[in-house]
Amino acid sequence: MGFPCTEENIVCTAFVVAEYLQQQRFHGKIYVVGEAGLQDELTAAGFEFIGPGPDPITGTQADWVQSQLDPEVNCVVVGLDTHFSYAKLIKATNYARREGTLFIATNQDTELPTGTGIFLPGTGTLVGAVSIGARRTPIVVGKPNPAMFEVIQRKYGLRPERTLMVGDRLDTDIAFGPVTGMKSLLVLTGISSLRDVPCKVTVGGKELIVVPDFYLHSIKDLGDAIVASQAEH
Amino acid sequence: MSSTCPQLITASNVSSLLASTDNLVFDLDGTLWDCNGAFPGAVDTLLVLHGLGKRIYYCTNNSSKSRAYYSNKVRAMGFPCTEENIVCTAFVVAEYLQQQRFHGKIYVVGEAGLQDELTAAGFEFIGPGPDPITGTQADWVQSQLDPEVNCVVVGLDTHFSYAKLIKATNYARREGTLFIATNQDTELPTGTGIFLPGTGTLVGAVSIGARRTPIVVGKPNPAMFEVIQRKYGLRPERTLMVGDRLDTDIAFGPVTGMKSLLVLTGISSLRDVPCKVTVGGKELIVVPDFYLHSIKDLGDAIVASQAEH
Repeated sequence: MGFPCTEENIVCTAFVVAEYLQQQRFHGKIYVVGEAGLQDELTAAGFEFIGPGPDPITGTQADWVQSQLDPEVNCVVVGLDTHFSYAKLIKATNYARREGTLFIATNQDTELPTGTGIFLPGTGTLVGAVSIGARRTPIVVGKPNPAMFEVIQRKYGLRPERTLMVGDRLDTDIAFGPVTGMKSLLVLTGISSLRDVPCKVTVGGKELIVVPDFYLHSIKDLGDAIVASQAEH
Repeated sequence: MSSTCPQLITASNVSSLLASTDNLVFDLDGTLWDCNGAFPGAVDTLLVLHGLGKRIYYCTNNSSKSRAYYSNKVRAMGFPCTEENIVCTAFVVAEYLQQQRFHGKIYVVGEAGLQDELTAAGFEFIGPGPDPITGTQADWVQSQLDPEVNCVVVGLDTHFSYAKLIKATNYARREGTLFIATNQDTELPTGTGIFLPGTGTLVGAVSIGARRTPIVVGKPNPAMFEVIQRKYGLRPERTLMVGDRLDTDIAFGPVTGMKSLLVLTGISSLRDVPCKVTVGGKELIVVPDFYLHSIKDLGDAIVASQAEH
């Protein structure tokens, strides 16, 4: 699209999950509810996993209760998976109920931005289903949870007080500000509007009142403001 | 009739319990049977109660089957039963919609039970059956939703998919759409080490996406008992609810005014008492009025008390 970027500048939850598992010195096998992003990043990091791809339910209840679960699985990762099915839900919940299993979610967004009148359910809906069945809550790595910034900080040495987070969602992008110590800029081209400010967001069990430090109607206005200020000098 | 400690039913207290009870409502899985068949003594106990003139109802949150199915199953096992004695969530949803004078079209996440009961009640619906995701995101955002749908019902659906989740959440987000869940059980009883996710997991996914909570009709919510009460004229104070789950069967007690008996052959144990349950936004502390190790002990206590007289 023309933006200045290398792979090193990308911080996506699939990458953060892989980094987080490496930082936790995870050893074992992972059951993954997820797509290409998680598959690629976990493979690149050398982790062994099962799960991705279509998995439609077959057979009857008598078959499912005799299911052979993989005894080596000791971690469940839940990300967006448009092949989600009751079969995957059976596996994810059974593995997550197993003693000592790590349970990680990439994020909890309720929806994907679509730009049309059709709403597409986000990872949060799938994480909800698995959490209810597993009777436990996952470690969530995506914005606004601290894990994502800790991975960035450890890898790139960013100082939060000298970093500006720019985004369109109050409950993920802008909440990332108070959680990490970064400054925040809300752009009004996406999900949230000024009418939604202040916004109550619960992060790690703690309720935050989220107010962006700055706002703009669109990212273009930032460039225009910079150019205009340079013209004045 | 709340107390801090459930009473064990014995030959010495069963007569007074029966004297104050006209109706018994039994949960099914984990109470009368499990995957291996009817529990020992269960059929005999219910035949004794039936012989004493008690009205017996069979009440399950499992939405995947119809009243006709459960009636055949219960009768085949030897329990005293007609279709009129069955209260299952699929039937309760149809009754509830009729009582609400619902008109329109329903998007159903569910199986044969909901299909059969909604059809029998004359409702128009779409949704059940396999619906695997196909195409790409570009296709999904151009989806043609049915403009006539003004109600979403979520029950157990083992064909659940992201495609169904897209439809259910979009319809439930529509202004004026009724959003109903059959129940919120987190798991199905299996009797093996494998856990099967219950309707609560699917309701959770749709609720999060739709950003709203449904009207839940199954135990322990009042809607199920209101349908029973309106249809059969039960007086809750003269009705005993018998079940194995504290958070559905036994919580049904304080919610409706029924007495409750916990049997220890299923999900809950005495270690789980007292149990905090939130119903309709209100937190209840649930303690069964009575308990027994199994349903057989009820029949034995009745027979023993009769032998003493």
